[in-house]
Amino acid sequence: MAESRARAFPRYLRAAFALLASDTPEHFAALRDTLGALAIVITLGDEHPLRVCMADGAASVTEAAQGEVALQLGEPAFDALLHGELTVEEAIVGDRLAVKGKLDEVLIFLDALHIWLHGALRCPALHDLYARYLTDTR
Amino acid sequence: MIASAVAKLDAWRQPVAGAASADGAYKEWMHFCVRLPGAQHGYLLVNLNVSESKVGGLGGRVLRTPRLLALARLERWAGSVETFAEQDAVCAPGRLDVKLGRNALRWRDGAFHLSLAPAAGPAGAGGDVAAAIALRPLVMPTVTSTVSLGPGGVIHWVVIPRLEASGWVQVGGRRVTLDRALAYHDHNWGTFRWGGDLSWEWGFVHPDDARVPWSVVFVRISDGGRHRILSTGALVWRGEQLARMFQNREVALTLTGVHRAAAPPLTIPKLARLLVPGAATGVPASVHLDAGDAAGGGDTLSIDFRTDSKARVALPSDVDPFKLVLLNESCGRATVSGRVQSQRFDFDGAAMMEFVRG
Repeated sequence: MAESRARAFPRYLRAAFALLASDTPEHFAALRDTLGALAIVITLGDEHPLRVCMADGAASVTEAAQGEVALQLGEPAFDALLHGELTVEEAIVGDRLAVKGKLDEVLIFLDALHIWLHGALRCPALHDLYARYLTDTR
Repeated sequence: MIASAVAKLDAWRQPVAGAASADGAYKEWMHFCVRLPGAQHGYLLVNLNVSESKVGGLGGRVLRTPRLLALARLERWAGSVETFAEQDAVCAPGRLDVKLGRNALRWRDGAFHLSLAPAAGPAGAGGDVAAAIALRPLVMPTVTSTVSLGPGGVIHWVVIPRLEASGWVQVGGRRVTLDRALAYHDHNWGTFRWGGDLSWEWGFVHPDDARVPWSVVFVRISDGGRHRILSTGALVWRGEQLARMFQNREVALTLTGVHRAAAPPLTIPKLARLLVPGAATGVPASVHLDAGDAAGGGDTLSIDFRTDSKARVALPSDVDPFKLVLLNESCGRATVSGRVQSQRFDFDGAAMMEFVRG
């Protein structure tokens, strides 16, 4: 039986950061500079919180609950975001994504997300990883 | 006669060995739009393209990125963009055949044979749209038209406004059979950068009554801010032959209002929707084209296009790594009237327009 998307998310996220760094270093550098010391905590469904930050110039994805911006969403909302059926704005308005943090830090997170997406759209290997993620998980 | 003209004029241009542009600005695509019966304003849009880009800085190399774009509108829009590895694209200069992974365009017996095969995963173009269609040109193609886009920039195109399409299209779970449905084709190539100082509008109209012998195509290319028009054209075919080409000062295009939809339009690639939330697209509610003979002759053309729905194709800007260019593909209705070579015409039809913004 295929692994759930939420369960597989940390592994794919680490792989995606590695591809972003190797294939679109311009976007990775912008992402690193934008996030700075900010840590984002993502809780997907019933999975453990995931702490995402930049450490020593590289991306760090670990199980931890400490961070400046906290995101919490269920697996259906995550799926809808991945398929482009829902935007971050719509998810927040529809109470499908909870975002907690100081406003200026939340805005930094949104800037970083946009940089990530621009990199992802320019990186065929990341597109392949995204396709595999959707195909190999449920 | 038509088949031999197509074979000569419409062949792939990009060299098979080496890059077509030193700076990675070359682009080439084959574009098809097929009227889908059984749906108001229904169209299938397929674009097989190869773009070059410079990677690795000054000492880097030019990378070719093949992509397949497939969009279909039945009750709603569906579709996606699929990117292929360089070696998965087969397209040779002088030939019309293009192969992108499992998808192929073949020129055989005076017709294009287009097959779109579903990808295994949900991210593939075929995941939403599959097809096997024979497209037979019914009118003569244009000779190559060329528009200079400023230093280092140029775009060439060949257009065939009327083909008949037979076969099938599958959109989601619904299969549509095509029996000599009207279709449109163009082939573009040149050197320019998406996100550069460039925008355009083009469109075509297919008469509701296929016995109407008139076909029309129109285009306007402008700078990015649409302050300066680089080229305008409106082409009219009667039967198989191009009967009149109105150019530049002979043509006026007026965009009116803003098309508003109840829901945000489909955006592909789907992840790009996170970067362009909302429904704002720069697509007008209507477009009016007026063309007249600059030499004072009696030829005229009037087209009124009304937008019904749209989908967005988001392309990464070649100029700014943090921007997108939006190709707004719009279906609608058009009323066409005029007089060319002393022959009057007046018809309604399904139409498509593309508005490039970014």
